[in-house]
Amino acid sequence: MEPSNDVALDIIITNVVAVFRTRCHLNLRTIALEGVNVIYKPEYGKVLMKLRKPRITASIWSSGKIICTGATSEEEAKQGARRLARTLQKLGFKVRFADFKVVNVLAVCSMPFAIRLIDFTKKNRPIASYEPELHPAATYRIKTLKATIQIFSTGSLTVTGPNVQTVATAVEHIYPLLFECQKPLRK
Amino acid sequence: MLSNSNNLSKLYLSVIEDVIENMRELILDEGLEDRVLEVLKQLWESKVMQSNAVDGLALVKNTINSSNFVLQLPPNYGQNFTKPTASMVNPAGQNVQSFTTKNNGGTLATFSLPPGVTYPVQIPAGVTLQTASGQLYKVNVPVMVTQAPAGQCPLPPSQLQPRQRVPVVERRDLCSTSLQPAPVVPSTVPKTMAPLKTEPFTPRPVACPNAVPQTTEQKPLIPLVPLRDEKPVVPQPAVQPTVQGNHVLQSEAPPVQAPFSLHTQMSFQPPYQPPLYKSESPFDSGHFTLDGIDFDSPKPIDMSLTSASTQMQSLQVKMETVLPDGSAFGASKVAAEETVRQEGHGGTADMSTHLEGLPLDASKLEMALLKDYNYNDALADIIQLDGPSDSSSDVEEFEEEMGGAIGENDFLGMMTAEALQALQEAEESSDDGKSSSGDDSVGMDEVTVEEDPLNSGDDVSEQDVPDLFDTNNVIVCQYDKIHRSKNRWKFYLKDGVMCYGGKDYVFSKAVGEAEW
Repeated sequence: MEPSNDVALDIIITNVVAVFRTRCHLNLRTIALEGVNVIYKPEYGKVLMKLRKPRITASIWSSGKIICTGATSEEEAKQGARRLARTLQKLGFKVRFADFKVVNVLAVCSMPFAIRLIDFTKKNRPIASYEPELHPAATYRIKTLKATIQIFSTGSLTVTGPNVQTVATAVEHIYPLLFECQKPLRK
Repeated sequence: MLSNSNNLSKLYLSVIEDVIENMRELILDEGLEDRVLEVLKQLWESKVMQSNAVDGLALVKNTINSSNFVLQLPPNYGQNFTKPTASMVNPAGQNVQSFTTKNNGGTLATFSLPPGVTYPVQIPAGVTLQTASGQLYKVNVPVMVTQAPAGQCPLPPSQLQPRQRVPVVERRDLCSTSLQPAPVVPSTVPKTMAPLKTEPFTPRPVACPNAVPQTTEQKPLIPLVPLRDEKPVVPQPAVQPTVQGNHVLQSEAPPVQAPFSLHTQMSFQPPYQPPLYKSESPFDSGHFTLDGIDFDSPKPIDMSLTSASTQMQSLQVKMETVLPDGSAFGASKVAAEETVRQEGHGGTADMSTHLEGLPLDASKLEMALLKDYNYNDALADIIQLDGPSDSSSDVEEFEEEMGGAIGENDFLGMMTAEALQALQEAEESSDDGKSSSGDDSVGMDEVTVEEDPLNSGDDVSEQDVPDLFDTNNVIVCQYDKIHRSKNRWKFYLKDGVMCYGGKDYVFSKAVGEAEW
């Protein structure tokens, strides 16, 4: 049970969610009619705008709040958000790129070993929870980091956290715990 | 896509005709001349042809070479096909009877005409013909379908008056089939049915339908009497009536003037007239007073002859009132076609019942007229759903803008001022401690610094995959369903026009898939 310091694991960031504000009211109808690659959802009161270059989808509200999803890195999220704001600016709105913040990062990681979830859960009783009838993965929440890790018996992990650094830290944190409860390969 | 281009050009022609007709009154009210409309029409048509979006050939109204109708011929009928002809040559009386029986046999025989068939075509009685558009016409009497020479005006102008509006004619007029000896006026069917027996036939106003549309023009919606064709034109001198008389039931339909002559004709019918008139009686009464009755009942697609006859009557009335241009003929025909097509399916069930009695009551005619008006609207709607009848968001937009504007203007004004201020301050000092953005003071500094670059905006964006689709390929239509999964889109569209590669295509349903 040695906490390995070099965890040469591949952490693949699959999704980065960011928000920003334009500090101005946006007329969704105008955006829907004149914008390119937009989907208008009047029943939800928002417009979805999709970008190709950083492949992101943005939900735009009339208040000027925009949520940007689908990026694969923080930098990409920011770049995409700026592009989006630029597009809105071109449509004629007095847009300001304000309050940009990455709110969530989703990453996946795979352990080189399988895991005994029940064992793991028992060992990390309050922090980890496992309800096989509800979900096949054990959920481990790191309060300090505000990160959540879902552990599957195959050894796959999905980690969500407020930023990429947190995610990396979380993986590092949990690796030793998982290592303890690894399932010896039978086959 | 010959058929498509035909349909398309007909559609466009009908649209043009509709618009012109509807404007006619307004124009005249304004005190402008009719000439203006004619000029407009010429310009419009020439533009459409020039744009090459439509097959120019088809635009020539009277030169439809392709058969507009598809007649399906059951194998057993193949041989019988020619048979009637021969028999028809014989004394009509007997043959009539035989045909009658055939009809009564109830064989819904439909025979198909090879597309390239050349006219004239003789069609035995008792068959049901189906046009390309799906309309069914029952031939009660052996008929001969011929094609009028291009540009031929089926009806001599003199005949116009008594003509009934021909829903029939309208029907498929583009194909300008005409009765052999004479254009079939009420040729509801794309082909004009002519009695097999042509000898005694004089090219009379039978062409009514054709002529009628020309005269009519005012109501392109003339309901077509699909049945009309069926009745072979009686070789009666009474032209129109005969045409109308084509409807077995219809005898009443014959145009006003015609009726009387028709009467006489009718009486003769059994002897020389191949067609069977199922109900001569209504016609015999022949008194329908068409004065001032402007009927306009859509012709039912069914074979209810009675209804057809009624319509014929009404048409006739209309014809009288209208003196259409020769040119309008084609258009009105097209329009009528459209109408009929639409209406036909709808069933003028009410009309049928209405017509059942076959009385030539003025009241009934009026009812028919009223219904016709409805059809007119329906037809207009079919062709054009925008413009005056657009119920969409003109008002909504306005309201939204109003409401939005009221709320937004103030806000925007404020924002603008703030933005200006922000810009100024930002330019002066990199640090932005603006109070305006002071909601979240945390991290504000970073954010504010970044705001500025956005405004300068050069680096940002500018990808704009520059208009990949600076295309001219456009589809204007309605949608049933638009679905998306990730970046896969599926489109279920309806009732639209597509301009692709410079050509126009019309569709009632379209399905598409695309990846974004």
